[in-house]
Amino acid sequence: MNARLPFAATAAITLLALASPSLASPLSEAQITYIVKDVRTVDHQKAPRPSKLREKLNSQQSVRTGIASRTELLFTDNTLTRIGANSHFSFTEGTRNMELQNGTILLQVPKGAGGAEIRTAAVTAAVTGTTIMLEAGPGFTKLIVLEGSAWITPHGDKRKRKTNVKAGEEVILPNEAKKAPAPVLINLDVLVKTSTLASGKWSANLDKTLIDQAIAQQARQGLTPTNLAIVGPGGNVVQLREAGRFPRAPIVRNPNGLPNGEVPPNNPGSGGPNGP
Amino acid sequence: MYTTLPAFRSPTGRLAVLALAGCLAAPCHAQSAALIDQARLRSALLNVQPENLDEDADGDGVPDNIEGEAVATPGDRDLGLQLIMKPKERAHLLRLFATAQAYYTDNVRLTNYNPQSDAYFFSEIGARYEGKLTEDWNVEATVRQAFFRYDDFSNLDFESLNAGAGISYKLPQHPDLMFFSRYNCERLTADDLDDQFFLNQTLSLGLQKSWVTHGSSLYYLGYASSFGFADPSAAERDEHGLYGGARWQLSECLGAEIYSRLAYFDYDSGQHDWNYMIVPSLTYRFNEWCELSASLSFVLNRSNRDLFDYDAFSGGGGLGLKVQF
Repeated sequence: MNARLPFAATAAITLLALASPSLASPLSEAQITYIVKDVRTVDHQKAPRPSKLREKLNSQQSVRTGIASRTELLFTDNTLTRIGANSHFSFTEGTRNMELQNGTILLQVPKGAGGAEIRTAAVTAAVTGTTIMLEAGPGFTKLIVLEGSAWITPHGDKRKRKTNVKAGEEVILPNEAKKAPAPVLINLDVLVKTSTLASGKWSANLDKTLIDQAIAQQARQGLTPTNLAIVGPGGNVVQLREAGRFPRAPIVRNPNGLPNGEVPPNNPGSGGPNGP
Repeated sequence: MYTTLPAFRSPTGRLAVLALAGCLAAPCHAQSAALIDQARLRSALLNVQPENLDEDADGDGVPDNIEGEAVATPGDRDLGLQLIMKPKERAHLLRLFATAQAYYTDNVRLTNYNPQSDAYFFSEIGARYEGKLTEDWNVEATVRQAFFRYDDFSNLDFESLNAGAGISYKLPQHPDLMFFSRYNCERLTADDLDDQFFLNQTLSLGLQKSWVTHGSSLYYLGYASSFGFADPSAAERDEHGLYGGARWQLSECLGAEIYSRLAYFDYDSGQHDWNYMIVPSLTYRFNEWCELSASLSFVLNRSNRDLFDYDAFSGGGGLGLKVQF
């Protein structure tokens, strides 16, 4: 009889572990906590309308951002989603599934929140207690893991193989990819310092404790810089003249003639915590 | 008619064994491996095509082809700069390896007189050390023991013990150009390691130029001369050869290589040979420590001694295991 106790305990723990994702609270609603410029809420079967600060979104709605715009959503379980420019994001109520139709997001799922699955045209990424950045571009998806790890499954893979992407790694998949390519290592410290999604002005706090640990871990590993870099979105690889040299931030001008991120005065779409 | 093949103590047997051992000697590619590694890194980035690898002459992080253009792209600053890193190269690497392969050859004695075909089994164990002295100077030392066992002509069975060390230097301004020098001692035995019938010491000098393409391909061309000091001295020879080859990483696991060499053999005995060899091969890597390989080789030898005007074809493959520290 006593011999059965360890087995029963092990079985119970295993069952609990297996069941834990389903015990996590599903995503029900998210609050818009920050708005910069042109952010619109898309109600079901209605035309997009300007989003309002503190507005609560449900799964019947999605969020769109325009050029040089960004917004932030905070879910009830403190899952944080920062949405970059030219993006379209939605989630499915009653599940922990999200969708990024296009654009960029930073997603931080707190430990113990039950994880999340986020879908793009190319891939489904599953995360549990992780901070990632994801870009759904024309024809490709880019995933960068800032801390923790994510499992990605290309939609083109009939065998539904999962590839693990760890902190400090980046993967770029074409939409038609049948297999995830091997991740490449990137300099997390530089990335976080130069990323608006990770370090820009926002309302909700991004928990950087684990990100800082991942940066410290990279420093301990003594990774070697290369002369290759990707600047911003997409897969446009730049060959630097000197390996690991920190290039100045790119100045790419938007149609208003202003450096990207700068808001022209009296722009009716602009907003934010202190905006109209 | 030949009823028995020449034993090792005959000049023919010695030269055949020596030539076979020479054919199996792999060229030194430590630098090439590093270049391939970098190319693979590039390739891993979205299967980067040459048109995606933009120049950034002014170093401001903006590719020249979009420099100054008033084009807004989604999230220019949202994601930030992604400087690509690679794992730190290990300054010292010790590798233990073991190989078991089976081959067929259509000219087991490497002669033009009544060529005979046979199959043979090749197994090898060894250890290799690679170390970085500085950014440009590398050293390497290898010890290997190989066993050759023939199917029909078992009187040709032999073993080969190789021990050698080399040093290479990459030009700082042209890291794809490498000079190398190597000492090697080879002891051939018959009858299960006991009976030494050939001892050869060689000193090699050479240079190699490599080219890496964006698609994880490597091309190399080199020249090497080696000077031998052999016992018995009748089989002593110097070699001067041009070699070249290419490696292609066809997929994450599958690689292809072709190696070719044209060499002039100058024997102390007065024999002079022109020797050409071409070896295409395929390697499938299951994981870090296990790979399957297959190769073909064709050797053409033209000598001032008619007996050694031979052609030889061989093909086979096998499993290789390695553990590295």
